[in-house]
Amino acid sequence: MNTKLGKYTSFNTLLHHMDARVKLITMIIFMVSVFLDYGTTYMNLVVDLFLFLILVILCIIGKVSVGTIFRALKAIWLMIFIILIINVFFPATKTGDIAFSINDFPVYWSSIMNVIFIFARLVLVLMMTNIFTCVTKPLELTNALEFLLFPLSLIRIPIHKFAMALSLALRFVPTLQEEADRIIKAQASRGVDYKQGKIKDKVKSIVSLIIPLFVSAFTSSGQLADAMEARGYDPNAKRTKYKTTHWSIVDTISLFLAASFLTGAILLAIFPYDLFSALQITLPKLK
Amino acid sequence: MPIQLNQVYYTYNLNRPDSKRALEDISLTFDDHCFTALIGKTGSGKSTLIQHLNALLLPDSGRVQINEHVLDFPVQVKKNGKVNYRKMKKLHKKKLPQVKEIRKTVGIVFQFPEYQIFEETVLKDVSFGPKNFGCTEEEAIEKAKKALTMVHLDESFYERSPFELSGGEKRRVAIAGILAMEPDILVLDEPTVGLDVRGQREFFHLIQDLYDQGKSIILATHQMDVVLRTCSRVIVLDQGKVVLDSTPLKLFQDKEFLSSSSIEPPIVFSFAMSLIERGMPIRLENIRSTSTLAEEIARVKGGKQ
Repeated sequence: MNTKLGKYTSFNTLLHHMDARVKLITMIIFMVSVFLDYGTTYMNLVVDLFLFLILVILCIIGKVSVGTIFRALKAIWLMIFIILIINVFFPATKTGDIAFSINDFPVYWSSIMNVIFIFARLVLVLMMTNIFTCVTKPLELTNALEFLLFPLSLIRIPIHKFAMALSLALRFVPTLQEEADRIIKAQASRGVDYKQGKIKDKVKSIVSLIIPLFVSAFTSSGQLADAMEARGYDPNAKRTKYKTTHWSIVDTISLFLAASFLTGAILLAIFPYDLFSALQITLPKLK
Repeated sequence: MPIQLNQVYYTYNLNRPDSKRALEDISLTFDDHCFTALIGKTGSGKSTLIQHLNALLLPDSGRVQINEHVLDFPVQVKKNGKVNYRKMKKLHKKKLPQVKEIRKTVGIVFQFPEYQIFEETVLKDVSFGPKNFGCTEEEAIEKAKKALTMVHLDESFYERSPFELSGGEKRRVAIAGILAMEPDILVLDEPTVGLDVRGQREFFHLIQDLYDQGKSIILATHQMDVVLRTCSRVIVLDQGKVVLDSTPLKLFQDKEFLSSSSIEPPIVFSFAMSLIERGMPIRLENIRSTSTLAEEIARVKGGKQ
């Protein structure tokens, strides 16, 4: 299990000190711009490349390991392969230039570019979320979410209850991990082998892990509820923040940069500009 | 000699910034049919050591032998004298077929063992262990029934759901789950935490019975009166090292060591010691519990024994 991916690591960098709300907004902006359509697949890839460079710079600033992200990609190679097969054998368009033929079966450039494009989007989204969670404490994350969801409170949706539930859920991830570890050890001494054995045995061994885990999760959630009430938690009361956030000049600049990035992306999407035909570079036709 | 540890080292999160040395140069031998106590403060490495006894954790370096099964991780050294971590890592990745046999020989009862319960009925849960070690359904149920009788749970419990039992009964089901595997060596990690007084007493009776039947018992505990009453050997751990390997009688008399390692001798023992200081010729080696102390006083005073 790759536990390093997306795990908050405490460093003293610019990104770590930024306001979580700004980071969250920036991430959303980046995500929107990944999924905008800039006219042609080539232009989309150009924007993706630009975004990739920005993200690599952010990785370097925030001391996030790029290697970890690419190591995590190992798991999705199979998916990429399947997408490739589907795209090659069932092309979306049967026009455009043919890259090569396998036994007279034409493989279109558009199929190949499509796969590259899907892959690029996946990598970018993974990078963004990974950078975000690596430099933001889970608690700050929930605070930021609570702040951004505040319009919902106008229509009487209790967001701070959601935020509380979310922060508790995040708080209990490592606890459950520990619990799972303990249960695995206890069952291993009863002869369960989680790694080897037939499929039937494996299913059985997973049951012997999941049921105790659920039981303990329910027990501890009940205990937690009691402990919170004992200390006077009232879900309807107005909540104050233990940690106040400080807005700094860096936040203003970043927000401004992110906003201009979004404006640029939207403008480019509305008024498509084909860089390649302007530079008179000929590429295989996709349509 | 069923268990032998040789220069065992273990570090949590090895080669990471948050690494923590848990065991350092542990060399111990547990003989056949022993009743040994492991004591030490929280975080002294008791639980880590226990997990080495049935290969739940493998030593970073060192050798663990359980009966004829050997887990050996000798230190790999490069030509320049530095430790070759890559080669060590490779050694740990090898498949270890002897692990299953080891786990069959050494049964561990963890702290709060009731979280290992998962089946619908008590009988099914207890027979889970033997089935994993290759018993047929009937054999497993036979063993489960035997184990449940040992922990004083009668037939009326067999078909009940373990989740609706009381805390003490759950604990007994969990312990039966280990006993049903019929391990030769039983390792217990603070097994009575959270049990009421009666449950604790019954539990130690059970352990004593098992010991009398010929099993070896290794017990990690904070209860010194239990150590005095039952154990014939005591090992004190501190910061991952063995600091004392002796008998309870010697340990509780060693005032200097007790104060430096903040271990409180049991009240019975302190009482007997002060009686001796005031001139009563009590034989300390006879003192194991309140009743034996009373017998000693009666003997000295010439009363009825």
